[in-house]
Amino acid sequence: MTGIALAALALVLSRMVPPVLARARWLEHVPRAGVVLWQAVALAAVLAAVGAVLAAPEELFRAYSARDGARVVPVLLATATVAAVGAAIIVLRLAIIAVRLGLDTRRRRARHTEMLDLLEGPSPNRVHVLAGPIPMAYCVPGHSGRVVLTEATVDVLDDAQVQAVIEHERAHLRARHDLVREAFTALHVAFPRVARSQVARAAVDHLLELLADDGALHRIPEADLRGALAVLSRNTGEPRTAARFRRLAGPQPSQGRRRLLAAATYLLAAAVLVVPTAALAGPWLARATTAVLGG
Amino acid sequence: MAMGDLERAVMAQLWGSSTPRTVREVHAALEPTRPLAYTTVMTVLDRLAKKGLVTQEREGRAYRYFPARTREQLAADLMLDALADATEPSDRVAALQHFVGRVSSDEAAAIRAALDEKA
Repeated sequence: MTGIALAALALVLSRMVPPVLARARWLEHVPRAGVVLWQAVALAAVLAAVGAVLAAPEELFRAYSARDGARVVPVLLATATVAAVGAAIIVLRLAIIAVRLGLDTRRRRARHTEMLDLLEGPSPNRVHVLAGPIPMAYCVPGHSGRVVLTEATVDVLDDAQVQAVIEHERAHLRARHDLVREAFTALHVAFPRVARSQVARAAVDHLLELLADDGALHRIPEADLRGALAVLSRNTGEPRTAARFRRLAGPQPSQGRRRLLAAATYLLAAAVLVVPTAALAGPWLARATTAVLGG
Repeated sequence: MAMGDLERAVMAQLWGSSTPRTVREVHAALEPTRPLAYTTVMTVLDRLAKKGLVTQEREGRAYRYFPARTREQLAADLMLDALADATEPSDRVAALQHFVGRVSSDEAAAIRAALDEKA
């Protein structure tokens, strides 16, 4: 049954693949390709779920009509309607989630930026230093993105390290990592809670941090970024930050090896999207078309 | 002048004053540096009140305005907002992107306590 197979595939992609993928250390060497792979898996899961809903009613009908030896057009139309409505609900739900998430995020960012401006005035280089006792560094993404550091951050880091933090955040802003995150969250949240893996979002966030580290390294020396990470993560004990530190300090695979790894990852991402469609949805579509055309 | 600049100038006036100010007083203080209509100042104060940034109190026929939060409190609010964003495991998109990822709930509690002390 194509419907069951697609539903199982959706569940495997949304629930079982993420924990495996989250442990894949090699993705840390090709973070961009890694993010694409994660997005492909999430999208493929949604597509499989849509496919399952589309295929199941038609298949039920075919099983029923085969037994009766009858081909009843009204029943076929009814099953097609059920399938279409089911699929439409999934797609519509995804669209509503995406819009709601987007609006909510933008509203919170706008409010945060407004308060920043009220306190500090618009900063010419869009870097704000907030009075405060807690070392914090973050960016507020958007078309006029801001980088925010607290005074405590500036105090514990030396100037070059502060610059490294700013460049890391600017890399996020430039590459609009927030949009990647938003899209991924929407795909992720579209699945019922039991059918999604919590590690997926953390893993994508981690890869985006690595991408921002790489982006910063075009502008600042690696030692400064490593220094800033060491100081600012001292109290968090976050394993992912330690992983970033190790990656910066440790040996890097050669350029050629990294290219090969990236190519393989992109290929895998394409396969995740294409193979299920070709293997499951294609044959079903062919059978369904034949049934409808009365072949 | 953009609304943001006006709001900032008005807030700076209120933050710099030890007592609640009337629209007339804020207007008089801003006038020398920027030509402004009295009604503009009134509109700005009204907007700030709607946003919960200033509080009005009635005194006879006039309203007096004072900041709802001090500068320090507002800065602490921003940090709490940033912190909430870094700890939230929910279905929202993190609105901000932090340099050192997620913050543990223990650590967040300690930071909140420190900020509350200050605010």
